[in-house]
Amino acid sequence: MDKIINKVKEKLGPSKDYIYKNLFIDKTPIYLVFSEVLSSGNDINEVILKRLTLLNKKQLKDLPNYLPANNIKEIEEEEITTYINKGFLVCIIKNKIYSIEMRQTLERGITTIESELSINGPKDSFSENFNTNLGLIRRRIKSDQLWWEEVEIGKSSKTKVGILYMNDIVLKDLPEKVKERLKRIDIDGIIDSNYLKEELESENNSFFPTLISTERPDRVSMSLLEGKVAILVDMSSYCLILPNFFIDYFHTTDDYYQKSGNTTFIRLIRVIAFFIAIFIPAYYIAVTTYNHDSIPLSLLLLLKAQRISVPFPAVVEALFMIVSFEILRESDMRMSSTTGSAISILGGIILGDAAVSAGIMSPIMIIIIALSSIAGFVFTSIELVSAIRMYRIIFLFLACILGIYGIYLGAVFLLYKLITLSSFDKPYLAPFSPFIKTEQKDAIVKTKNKGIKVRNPLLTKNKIRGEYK
Amino acid sequence: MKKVIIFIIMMIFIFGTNSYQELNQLAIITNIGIKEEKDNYKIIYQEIIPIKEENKIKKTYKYYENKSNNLQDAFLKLNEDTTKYIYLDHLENIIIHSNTNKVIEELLDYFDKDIDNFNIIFTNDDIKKVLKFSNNYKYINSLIDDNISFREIKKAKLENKPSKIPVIKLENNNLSFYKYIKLGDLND
Repeated sequence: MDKIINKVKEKLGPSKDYIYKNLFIDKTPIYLVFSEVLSSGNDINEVILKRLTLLNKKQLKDLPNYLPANNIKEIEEEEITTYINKGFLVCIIKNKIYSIEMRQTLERGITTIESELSINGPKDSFSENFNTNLGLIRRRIKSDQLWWEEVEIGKSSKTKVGILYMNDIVLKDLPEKVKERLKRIDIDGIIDSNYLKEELESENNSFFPTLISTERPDRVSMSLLEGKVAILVDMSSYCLILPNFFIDYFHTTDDYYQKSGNTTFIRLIRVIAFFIAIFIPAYYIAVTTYNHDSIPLSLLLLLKAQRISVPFPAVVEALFMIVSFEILRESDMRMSSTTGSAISILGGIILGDAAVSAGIMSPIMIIIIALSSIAGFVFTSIELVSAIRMYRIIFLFLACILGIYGIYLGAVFLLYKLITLSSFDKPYLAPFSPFIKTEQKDAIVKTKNKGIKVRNPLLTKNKIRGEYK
Repeated sequence: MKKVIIFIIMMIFIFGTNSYQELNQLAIITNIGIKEEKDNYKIIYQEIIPIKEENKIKKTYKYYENKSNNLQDAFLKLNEDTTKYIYLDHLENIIIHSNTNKVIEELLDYFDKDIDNFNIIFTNDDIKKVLKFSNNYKYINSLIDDNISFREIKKAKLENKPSKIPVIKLENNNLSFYKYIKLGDLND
């Protein structure tokens, strides 16, 4: 027994948070090893020590049946340190080694949602605890068909990753594919679920995202019911959903909590916003530098009057505005909310007002860039916002080189990129290309829930959602 | 990505950026006056310059003049008068002081098919004075019931049909519509 302890001590090194406790119970020597920071000291004192000391020699031999702990099992000698680092209490009695779960809760509890706000939806969000997160989903889907498989990733971090799916809905090969991909990852540590993105999106070489990472348990539940797969990572408050279609980024959970007519309107606005966000600065540049004849004279005169004192070419002006806006956004995002407001005021005054009165910016350019940036923020997915930003700049340069013809060429390229993209072998532009008639009821237009009777045929073979009578 | 960059660079070489014109560099011409003198053509360009005032856009006008025995030459010479790019896509009227349709013939040679959406108006009075009236946006065109565009004249010419052209006259500092004349009649 001393040999085992010495080995463990050697493995764990000089760290002071590991406690080695030697006890004699009914004349039997017992060793308890645990981590002070990961295990709950109170629980160990209250439950284990108080009960353990009352056991007799015979009972000690059959420890799992005499201890009031829900997770207790016999383990191998090599596993001792792993279990200690997971927060277990390791109990060594003669040659038998038991691990007893005594984890301390190192979490902030279920907090309200921060990034994907909803007006009348649920307000709870994922936290860093795997079990809490799983619980939030299980509470919404009480079916026994909600299955999950565990994968451990990270040589040092040994992070628990769970692949969740509805067994009766999901295509059979999808969870296996996801598992295979995840097993390919060879890395020392997974600190957050976003670490997995690169491998899961390996076939995607465009700016557009094919994964959704969300804080909302209701969104994950909805996706699971559609036949998608969710990936939960321990110590990460973001859950990954896959596969995704382009149109999924235009949907929010709120869409399903409102009247269908209003949802359709909002979705149309989002589509318009997408085009405004990408094309408006480029179109302005094209119109003011190449294709002056494509706008009426009165508008042309208006634009000219605004620009008459501006010393820079329109492209430089646009880039200056875009860059300064991005700097403003970045600094605002990293700052706490108290200093953040000062930055927004300063940025607003300097960029909005002073630049115009100083004559280095035209007010119309500020309107264009502000409109385009605001339109970009309609989307909750930060990856989509970044993709839009990249394409905005690409289109700006194309417009600067070739005018409206350049925008047209760029649009063809963008469409080509979107069409050839796939997310886990599912066409990204579905249900438009390929055209799926039944899915049109919940793509841009949303009909009443009564009308949406079937699931996406690309995601499941179990199509029927429910029949209204 | 490499292919895309090469493609874009090729595009620059093939198409170039030569039609690139900043708004500040444009001389937006809305009216042109042509006066046929003995052996000469006198051309007056009216540039429209918008100036931003408090809450509105004030339009000011600038005139360029040139003379040559040849209309083409006169148009080209005007480009030398200004560093700005003479921009004719939003041209509204060409006001002609002439007794023959030689001017129209030469105009048909000069203007390609891109720019033909302007009106042709005849007058027998001082061109510059008439042009000053057009400071008021579309004032001249509002006097005439049936404005004749250059495109229509071109079409009529191809089909060998006569086309009528409005004539305006200046009387006591008052501009008014006078009559229509047939293009063929000018020959005499």
